[in-house]
Amino acid sequence: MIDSGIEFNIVCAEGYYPLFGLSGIKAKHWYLPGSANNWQPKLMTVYKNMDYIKTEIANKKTTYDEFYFGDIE
Amino acid sequence: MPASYKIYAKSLHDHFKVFYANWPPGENIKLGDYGILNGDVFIPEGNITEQFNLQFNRRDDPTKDNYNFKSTDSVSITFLPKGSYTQTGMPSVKASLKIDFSNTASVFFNAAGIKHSLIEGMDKLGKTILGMFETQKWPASRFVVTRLVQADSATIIISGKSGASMTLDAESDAIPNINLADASIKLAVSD
Repeated sequence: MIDSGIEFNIVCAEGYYPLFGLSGIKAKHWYLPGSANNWQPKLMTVYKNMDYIKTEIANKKTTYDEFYFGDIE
Repeated sequence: MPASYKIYAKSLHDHFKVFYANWPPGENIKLGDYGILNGDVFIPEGNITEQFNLQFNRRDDPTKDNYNFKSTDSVSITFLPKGSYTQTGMPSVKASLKIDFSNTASVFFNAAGIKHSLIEGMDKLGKTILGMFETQKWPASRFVVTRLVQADSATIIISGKSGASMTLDAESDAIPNINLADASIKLAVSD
């Protein structure tokens, strides 16, 4: 019996893939605007601030060694 | 209120951490698929083998597992064995499961007979992708499916309002009780 308040329901059989893990490019250090030492050692994805990082690379303030490929949480 | 699929994706990612929810749940997804993230929702764009000829080996874990999740304090589950008295006063022919949602935007998720697969040799693949990143051939905002969870059966329910409920029956009347960890018990929405 389905109440009108149910927005979505599915009962799946074999072969269904409900979950998956993602990997992507991450930075070993992360730029934190306004902090005393702006480059902090923190594992985070870089995609939100990529334009900034590209500028930093162009200005030789960081290098591609800063990046690695790992799990995205 | 955010769309139900966003609530579902966020709830499962917050709970399972390293895993993201497949949306729509029946979407075919493969190891090596790549795409972008819109919040907690993955939007596939292609496959690294088909588009970039990046090869990898797949490893399948032979052990099976069960995963379940329900929104804290807002989802209650009542197991009704076969023969329980129904609202009409008659004993039920089939075992059933009643799920009540006391809050809006609540999620019930159960997957039985879970099998894990992953990309073997992530180091090698990562170095190749980093090389593409340096030569501007790989955007940093692009992510790769490197782990995959397959289920023998899954039940997903999202409520849109407080007080919603749903009842599921075992498909077979030979089942005395519903065990959510048993993938062989097929469930169907109660009439």
